[in-house]
Amino acid sequence: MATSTEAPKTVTLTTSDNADIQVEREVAERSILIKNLLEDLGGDSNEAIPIPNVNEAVMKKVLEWCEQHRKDPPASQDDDSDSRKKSTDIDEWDQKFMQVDQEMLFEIILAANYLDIKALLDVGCKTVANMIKGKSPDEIRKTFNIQNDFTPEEEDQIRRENEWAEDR
Amino acid sequence: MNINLRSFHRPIVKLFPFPHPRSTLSTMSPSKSLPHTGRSKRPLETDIQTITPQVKRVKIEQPTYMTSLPNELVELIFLHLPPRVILRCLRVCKSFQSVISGSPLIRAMLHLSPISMNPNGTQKINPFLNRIFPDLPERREKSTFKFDDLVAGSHLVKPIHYYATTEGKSAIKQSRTDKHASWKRMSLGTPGQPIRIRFVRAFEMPDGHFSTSEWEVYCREGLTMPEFREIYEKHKASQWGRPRRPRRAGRLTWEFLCEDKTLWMKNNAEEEEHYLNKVKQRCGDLSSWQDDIRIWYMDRVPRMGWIHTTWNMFEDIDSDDYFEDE
Repeated sequence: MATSTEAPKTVTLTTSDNADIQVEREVAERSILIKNLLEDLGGDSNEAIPIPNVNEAVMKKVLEWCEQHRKDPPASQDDDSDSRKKSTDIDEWDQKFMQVDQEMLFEIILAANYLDIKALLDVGCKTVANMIKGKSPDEIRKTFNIQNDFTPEEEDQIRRENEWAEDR
Repeated sequence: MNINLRSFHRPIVKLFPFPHPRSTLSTMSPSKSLPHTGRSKRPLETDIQTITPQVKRVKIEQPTYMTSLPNELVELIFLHLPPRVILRCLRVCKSFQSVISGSPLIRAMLHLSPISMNPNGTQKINPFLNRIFPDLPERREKSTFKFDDLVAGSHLVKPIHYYATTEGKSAIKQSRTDKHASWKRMSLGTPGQPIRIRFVRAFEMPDGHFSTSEWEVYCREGLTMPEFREIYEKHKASQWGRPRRPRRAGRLTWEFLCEDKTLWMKNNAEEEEHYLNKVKQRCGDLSSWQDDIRIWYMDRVPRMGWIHTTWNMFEDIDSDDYFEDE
């Protein structure tokens, strides 16, 4: 099926805002969603693939990650050896990649989940986890623009129940 | 061309609502929240076959913030946090609280409920152990807990230290009398998993011989922290042949056999490890002991009623203020 000596195959992705992005197939196939789609379509379809849940800006960012990680070994479902690192360990390139505003960060997480790119989803979640660590509940609320919807009594009760676990 | 995206779509996280009621950590009664033998009501996350993906992303007008992520993704983020930080997140907002309380994976991480009755399930000791029982020996550099979380694979979670400041001490002390303190719902090991604890007391006689006695506790359904505390207390109250000094232990070592044979020792680790090995030799064949935790008390019997120890006796391991409450 595959023709071996030709230029790398490309695919076209149509984002939610109707932008067409052309990308090498190997790069796009970091997304298990796209990979499965392409497999189901057979080898040589040139038609654009609609990605209705991801807009152009986010898709470009995701593809940037896919490009960087195109040669990574595929993560198998139950292979833990790779993720034995501490949760704070994020690759240096990935750390820089994730230095985006919060809106983009959460869009990347949503897109990685939708497109089924486990490694990218992990990096995104770790990045947010690192933003939570070392902060007080109030600082967490400020960081993520979260409304405190507990009554003072409720909050106090939860605080008392878990006070023993806090460092102070 | 008409591609049916739904049929291909396999998101990593299944966007299901949690099936069981959003009872919260703070309002659950202790009896309800620690079903020893109960099964997790939700199938394991990794069961890829059961996916019927339903991403319905509503067009969000306002920017995407943490709170606009589906609960399942917030759960995934929390699974990268240490248990202590997760408990702190309970207080941030109701939606965080409901994600944490409703997630079997997070509850398993907090030793609150069993994730499944996995027959190969390994015993994991609650990383809060040191915090809840401050009289435990210090964790040494080489002692680390291995902690598995099913999403991110296994990573090291360090045991959480006793916080030895005045405020830290008083917070722990207060929690002992507080019925609602969240550690009282936690399990010592993996919830629902059988656990075997052996107390071994070894006396070195003045002539160099050892006399050892053992006390074994096996609990098929695991032990909650308060249950374990009761056992520990009972054991220490038993006098073990030293009626006058019932609560003293020369050397106290905790051995976590279920977790890469981690040792926790009270003082000079090297010296104590050496001594422990000496005692172990006298105990004969230890391989037949199927313990998860072994607690060693090692003493020297004073000659003629005088204390002839070459090492210092430790302070009472559970000095007066520890088990006084309730």
